[in-house]
Amino acid sequence: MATISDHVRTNMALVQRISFGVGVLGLGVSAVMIGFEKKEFFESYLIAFIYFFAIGAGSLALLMIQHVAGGAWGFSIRRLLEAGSRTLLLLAVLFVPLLFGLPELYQWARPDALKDRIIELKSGYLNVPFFLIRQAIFFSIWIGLAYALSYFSRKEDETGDESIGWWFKALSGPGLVVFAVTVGLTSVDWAMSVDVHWYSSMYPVLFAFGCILSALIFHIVAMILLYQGGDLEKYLTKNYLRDFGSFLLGFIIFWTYLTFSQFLLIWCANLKEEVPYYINRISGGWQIVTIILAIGHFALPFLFLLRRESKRVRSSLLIAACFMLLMRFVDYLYLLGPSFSPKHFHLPVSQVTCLLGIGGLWLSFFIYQWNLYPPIAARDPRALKEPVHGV
Amino acid sequence: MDAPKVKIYGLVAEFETPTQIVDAANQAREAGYTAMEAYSPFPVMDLHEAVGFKRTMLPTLAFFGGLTGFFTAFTLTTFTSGGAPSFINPFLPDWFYYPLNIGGRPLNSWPAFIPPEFELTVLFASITSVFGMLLLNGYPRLYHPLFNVPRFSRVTTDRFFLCIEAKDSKFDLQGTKQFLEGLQPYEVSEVPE
Repeated sequence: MATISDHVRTNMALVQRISFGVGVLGLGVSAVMIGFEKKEFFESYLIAFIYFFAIGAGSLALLMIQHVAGGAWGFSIRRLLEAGSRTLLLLAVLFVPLLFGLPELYQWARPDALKDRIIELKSGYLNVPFFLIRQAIFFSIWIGLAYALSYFSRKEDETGDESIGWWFKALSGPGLVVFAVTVGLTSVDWAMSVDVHWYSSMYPVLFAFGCILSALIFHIVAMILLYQGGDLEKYLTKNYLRDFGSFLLGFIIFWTYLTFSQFLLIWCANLKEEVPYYINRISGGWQIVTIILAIGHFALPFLFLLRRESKRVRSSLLIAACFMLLMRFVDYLYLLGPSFSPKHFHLPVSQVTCLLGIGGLWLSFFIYQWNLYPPIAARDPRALKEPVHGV
Repeated sequence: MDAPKVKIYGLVAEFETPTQIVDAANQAREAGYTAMEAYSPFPVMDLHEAVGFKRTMLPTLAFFGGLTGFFTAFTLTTFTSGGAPSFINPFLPDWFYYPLNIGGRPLNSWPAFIPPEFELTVLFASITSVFGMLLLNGYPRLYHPLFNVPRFSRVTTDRFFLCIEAKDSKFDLQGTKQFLEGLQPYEVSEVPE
């Protein structure tokens, strides 16, 4: 029976307490800021919320992918993914404050919205009641899937019944399709409709994939930190780490492909309705963010992870993943920041407090969820097989 | 001592079980041999470490192949569309400078050049990998010297072979032969080049 080492357990409890404190403090300070800059607060809150939502939703997607596809890698982080997917419950609660800022965030939610002919045409979908209904349905689906998968996981631990494997597959296969559709529509609701005249068919794919990328990065960090010491170390061998490093490299390349394709198509077509989105991102100081993203989210990690040893050595993979966690934030800032303040680069103080607030609460909730279950699903059929890996 | 008439590639010892060959390879490595290779009908655990397998330079070759592809496409697209920096123009022949106006876009439309750059990077890297692999495997020689040993054909069915190559600095025909025989193989044979 694999257990978390005492050293990690002590540190984890400490981190949980500190991050909870930071979370409460961060959200408290942010709440005070509503009084000064209401619009700014909701913008910062949305960016910070999406950053952590991506990890939760991506965990659910990765969990379903590994249930369908199998593989030793999926088995080694299965309980981390389950804990990550259960944080969607907290994220649903953290979503509620945004409902009070809809008119601040979205042009289509303002009283005079229908004066705009384009918004009027889109109002069959983009209207506040339907928005609320959609979010309620989507969050119920995600939370339902996450808790159903965890429920069967617990049952598997208790009974060891092999027929439970069928349930994992039966939920995960259709679940992935539902996930793609719901997260795709959510990307339109939360982010794309900020630029209400603009549209891109690549956007939902990019957003949904961004979730999976965020989750993978977070779980690489979590795995390396939490499995240290004790008998969980056997999941940190070079061959396991190289699987995750290769995933990370492949996912970064795919992210670049999606991001660049969206840009290239709009750049080539050069249409009046489409280009403002990118003009906002290459002017007014935002071009620095775009360049940082091109170098930091693609060029540097790509060249670094090409080397075989970078993927196999624990410290170098940890550094790469931590750096990518930072870059994920830059990506979400790039996604929404230029749309919120088009003419000049702006990073408000509330962005930092919201990030700390949501992040602190989220992290302590994640650790709480991770402690509820044994760290390794000992009765997963994959547990019986000694991992045999190609070199 | 008589020089052998045929050039020797190495000495090969034949074993009957996977355990034997892993032990043999471990002993050979501990005895200081470095240029050796093991052959087996299926992947054998730990054999990889036992022979002290060194990685080839193929990844490095592929990387520079890819880099060459990138710069080839970069040069091709930039120069054919007339997007190269203007200080280069005096050095180019008159017939070469033929700027392409595509929908009024700038001559150096780098976003449009990235797809060909990507394609040639992949193409050059994969061509380098395939041909580099062939060259590192001894191309243009079309067979491996070990096939000169008739018994070696059993490597695909039920026998395990450990070959110590003549290029090893510690290699000496008599000494190495005695050493290999000390490992209790089924048979030790000389491999003609």
